[in-house]
Amino acid sequence: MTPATKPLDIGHGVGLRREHFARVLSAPTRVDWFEIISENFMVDGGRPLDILMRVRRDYPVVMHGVSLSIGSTDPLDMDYLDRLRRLADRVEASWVSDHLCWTGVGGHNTHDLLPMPYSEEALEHVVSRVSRVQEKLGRRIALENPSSYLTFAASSLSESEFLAVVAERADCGILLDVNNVYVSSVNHRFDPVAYMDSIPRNRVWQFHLAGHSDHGAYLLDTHDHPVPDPVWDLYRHAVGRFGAVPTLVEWDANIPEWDVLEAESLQARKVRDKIVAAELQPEGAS
Amino acid sequence: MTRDGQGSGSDSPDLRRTQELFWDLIAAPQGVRPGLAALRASGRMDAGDLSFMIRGDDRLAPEDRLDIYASMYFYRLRDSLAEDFPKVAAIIGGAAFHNLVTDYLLAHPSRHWSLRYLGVPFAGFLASQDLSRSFPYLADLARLEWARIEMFDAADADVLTRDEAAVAGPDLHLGLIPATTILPFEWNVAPIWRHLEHEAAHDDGGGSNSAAVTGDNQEEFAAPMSVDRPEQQKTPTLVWRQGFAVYHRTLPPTESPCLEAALRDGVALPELCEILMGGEKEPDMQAAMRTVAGLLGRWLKDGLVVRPGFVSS
Repeated sequence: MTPATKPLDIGHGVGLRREHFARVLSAPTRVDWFEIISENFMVDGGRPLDILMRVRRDYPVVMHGVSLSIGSTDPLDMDYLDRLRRLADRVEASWVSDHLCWTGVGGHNTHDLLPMPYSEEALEHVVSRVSRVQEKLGRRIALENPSSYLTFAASSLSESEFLAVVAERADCGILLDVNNVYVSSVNHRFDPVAYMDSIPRNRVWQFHLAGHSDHGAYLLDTHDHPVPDPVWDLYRHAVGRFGAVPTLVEWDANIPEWDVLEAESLQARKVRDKIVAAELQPEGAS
Repeated sequence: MTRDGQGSGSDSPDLRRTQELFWDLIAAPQGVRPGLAALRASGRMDAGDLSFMIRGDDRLAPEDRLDIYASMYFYRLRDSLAEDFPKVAAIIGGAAFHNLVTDYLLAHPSRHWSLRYLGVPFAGFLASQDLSRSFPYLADLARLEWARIEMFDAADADVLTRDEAAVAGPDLHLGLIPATTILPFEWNVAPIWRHLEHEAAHDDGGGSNSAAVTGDNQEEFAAPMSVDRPEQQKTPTLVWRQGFAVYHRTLPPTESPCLEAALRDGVALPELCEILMGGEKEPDMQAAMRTVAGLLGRWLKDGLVVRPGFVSS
């Protein structure tokens, strides 16, 4: 397999959700691409697949999964990977991503993104599985940092160290979820800027932006709000460090009208363009 | 904590044991602390708390942190089932549905990578519950709701047109599209389904939801919805997709055996006549041919007949 390379900057996208199917198909939009939840379209037929193929005629599609369970100690699910590959081939996905997490054990599936202990044992395990998944899919994948609500006594590495080593050793990309960095930084009291600064520049393929909820003792990653100010601030830092990386606004609950979601994506574009333009200014220019 | 499954050089369990304990505790029906007590009582662990595995701090103890995942696990799956079975949930009400799902997840935890399949054994489970004594028709209603989901994303197929059927004439061999199923109901649940669909369409608050969260973060369960008990009668029901819309209708006695034969292996027109005469639905070949012509017209109109030679991609 060819070595991982940072994908082209395809601009700003949003998640393709059924609430917006009719709007997206009826007229041009001001977003550049769509991200799908892979599993929602890994079906035999019917309306969702038809919609997806019609959207694909006009936009690049990025596939984002929730069931890879890369950190589980159960065997990899080959049926799942076969179906994932078929869908990726069919939509000519710009890239395929999932989460640094596990979703079940003993044959059970929780359908949640469960946290990993950041131990040497887990590191070996994840690196080996990412390599096998990439072979099976015939392409490099990107892994997203999850939001988390607990840390394990067994962890000997920080999350960012773990993610960076996985990416280097398995030769995969990183989907840097800026909201997740912020949520976890509050929940576990770490410095989100230092987290970002320890992620290798060339490994970040995509950013996620989203909103969260404040539950007092912790923040919960709910994707049901506009992007809040601290996440915008962190995004500015991310763009400064990682450059013009494709950026997606996630909004999965209390989904707003299309115009509101589109405006949030346009705001991300404005923020990113301003920082990238400033970086390109020759020294001494005013 | 037994020595089995411990990571080398540490008091922490290894990755496998960590994940097994994590699963056992977030799937415990009463929450993490009662789950921990149950594991201790059964001799599966001897630690007094979870600090050997999870770090706590001044804000949350390890058990509280794990409880966040336990809540997310249960509510995500409960809400998914409420979305799949809105009419069952509406009839029994939010509180009973919540309890039903609690028992269901213990008996049938998800084993599929997609949440889409969580409800596969739900109707059968419902039939085995005490709830079915008060609502004996509920399992059939659940089967109808589930079949509609199955048909929604079943494989696509090219449909035979009237003109193509006319060209084929009596040599036509009838096969049905993959998005077709027949349910052998004991109760006539279609009127209840229609009534609840109408109610939901006219409820701007999304009335079939099983629960909502109030301003003070307390869950407020939807009250049971009163419906007339349906008739107990054998009611074979066809569920199918035409284009992207899913439909269902009750099958009359003449149509049911014919459609079942077509669904099984496909069927030639003369065989349909024999089925009708053999079952004494029609007295002679001429009457049978007239009935078959009528059935074929309806099936073509409903988009049920697959174009011969079509292979799903």
